[in-house]
Amino acid sequence: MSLFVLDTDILTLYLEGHALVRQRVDAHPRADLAITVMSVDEQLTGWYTLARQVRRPEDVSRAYDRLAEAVVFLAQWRILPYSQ
Amino acid sequence: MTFDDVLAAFLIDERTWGLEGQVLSRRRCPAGIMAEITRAEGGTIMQVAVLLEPVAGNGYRAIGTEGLTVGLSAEGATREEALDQLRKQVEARIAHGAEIRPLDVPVGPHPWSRFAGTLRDEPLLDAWKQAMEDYRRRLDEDPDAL
Repeated sequence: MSLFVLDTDILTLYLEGHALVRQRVDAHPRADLAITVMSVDEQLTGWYTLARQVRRPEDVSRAYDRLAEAVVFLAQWRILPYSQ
Repeated sequence: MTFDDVLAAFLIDERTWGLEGQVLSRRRCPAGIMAEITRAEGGTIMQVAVLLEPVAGNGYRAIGTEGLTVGLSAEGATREEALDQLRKQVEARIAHGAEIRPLDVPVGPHPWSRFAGTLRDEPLLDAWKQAMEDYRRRLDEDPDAL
């Protein structure tokens, strides 16, 4: 069985709805796909940082909503640890 | 240990098996003994669930419910005989090339697929990407920055 590891850029394209990326990802069984804890770190840190940078209350709220969604999204994946 | 060694060992305790006075052969072995012999000879024993029910009138019926027993059934005057007949059918099926293989089947969309495209119209998308890029660059420049 081959294991396909998606990096942060591919994960981001998936969230943006990139058709080819989505097609490729969805074509593989769940057990063949993984992400790394580095992507988890980068995506969550991105929203976390943004929530502190933006000034408008609606943007702060939006950034926190996205942070919460990202936690749920990332938790669906098999996450490879830093040491692998 | 050979078939005969195991058989001899069981014959010593033949009363336990209710086989006193009987001449055993491999084909006539009850399933329990057969399993022990197969084990002793280095074979593999796999237990499968079987539906065993009384037949109206007399006897019992053993019906396969999983794996190599699916679609098979056998009757016997006793529970043991019904099971033994079913086991022989399984053995015949294996001898004719039957085997169990794993098969991947789609079980619906990936759990993460509902998130695909959720950031397509996100106003903060570019700022988020920039925040990730800045973070990545900081770590690249100084891994001890955290």
